[in-house]
Amino acid sequence: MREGILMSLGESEKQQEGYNKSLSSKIKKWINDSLTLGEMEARRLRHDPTELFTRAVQPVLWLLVFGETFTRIKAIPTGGVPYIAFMTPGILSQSVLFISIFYGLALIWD
Amino acid sequence: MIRIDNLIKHFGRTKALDGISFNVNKGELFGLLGPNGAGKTTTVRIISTLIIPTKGKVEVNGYELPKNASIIRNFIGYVPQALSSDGSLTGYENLLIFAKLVGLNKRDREKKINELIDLMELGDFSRKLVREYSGGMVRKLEIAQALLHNPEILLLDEPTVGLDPVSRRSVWYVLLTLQKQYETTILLTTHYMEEAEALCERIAIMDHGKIVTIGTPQEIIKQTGAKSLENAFIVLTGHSVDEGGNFNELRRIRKTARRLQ
Repeated sequence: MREGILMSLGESEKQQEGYNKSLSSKIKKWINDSLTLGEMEARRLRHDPTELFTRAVQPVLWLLVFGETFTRIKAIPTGGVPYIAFMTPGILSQSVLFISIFYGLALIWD
Repeated sequence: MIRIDNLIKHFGRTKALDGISFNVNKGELFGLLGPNGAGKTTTVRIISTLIIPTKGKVEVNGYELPKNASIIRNFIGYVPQALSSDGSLTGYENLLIFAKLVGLNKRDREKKINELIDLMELGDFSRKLVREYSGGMVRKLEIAQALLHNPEILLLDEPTVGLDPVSRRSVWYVLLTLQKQYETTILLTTHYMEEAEALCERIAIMDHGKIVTIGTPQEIIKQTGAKSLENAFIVLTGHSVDEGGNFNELRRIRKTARRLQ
């Protein structure tokens, strides 16, 4: 007989069987798994919060360096909109897209 | 517990497995021994439902693959050769995340994690980041992760690759405890002769995608008239276990070894 710690999970085994059966259980498991992976990322950030800073460096540099430069030289016509305002939505979208791609790949590896 | 009959796996034109057949009995510690590129990892990845066989029959606990893959996953634990724990989390957090992913409820989760931490003798280290662990502790943590859902079968792919002799022995001790005390069926791959001799009740010697022979280490030594398992391997395959494998396989092993040091 398998005894001790490896026999203490009757409820959880039933839970797993349940997961395999109905569609609603599968959806529930998908949501739980997604939340768990989110929790894993949050815990990583808690141990190393400097990552937040390093991720923010690139968009800030884009805004400061290119934003300031193009504002001064007026190389691109913006239709009267300040160049920083013209550029910010694009820079933010780019950052979100890139970080999503990198995170997506990391999640696949996980 | 595991029945494999005439298993064939092709990757494009490469024949990774060329009609292998073997059984692993309930509660047995069975080893696949062979050089890099022999097909050991492919066999374990098929049993662990990660890849689909080209031909042949694979039955785990009475369920046939690939159609019953989701059922089979409930009673197998898999420790891959590449690292599966996250160095930027603590040992406890790694176990917690895995426990949530395998669907343990909150009450069972805490109990099970603490019991496995005790079993693996991780103690206070469980609250430290995994990147501070020794190679042996990382491997023990990964075995604990694979045991969270109470599997009857544990599959390990080169569990001691890259470990120093002391860490290797501590992993052996854990595996023997699991087999003797908890009657867990264990299938592991290795290319270390002393590991196969020290741990496995029966071994299958693999070479170029085929099984050359199956038996206890003593039977194989006796059958070949050799003095040791290493010599028996040379008699059976015509080369030593260190030969074989391609650039990618060697790179994968060295990468794992480097990360465990």
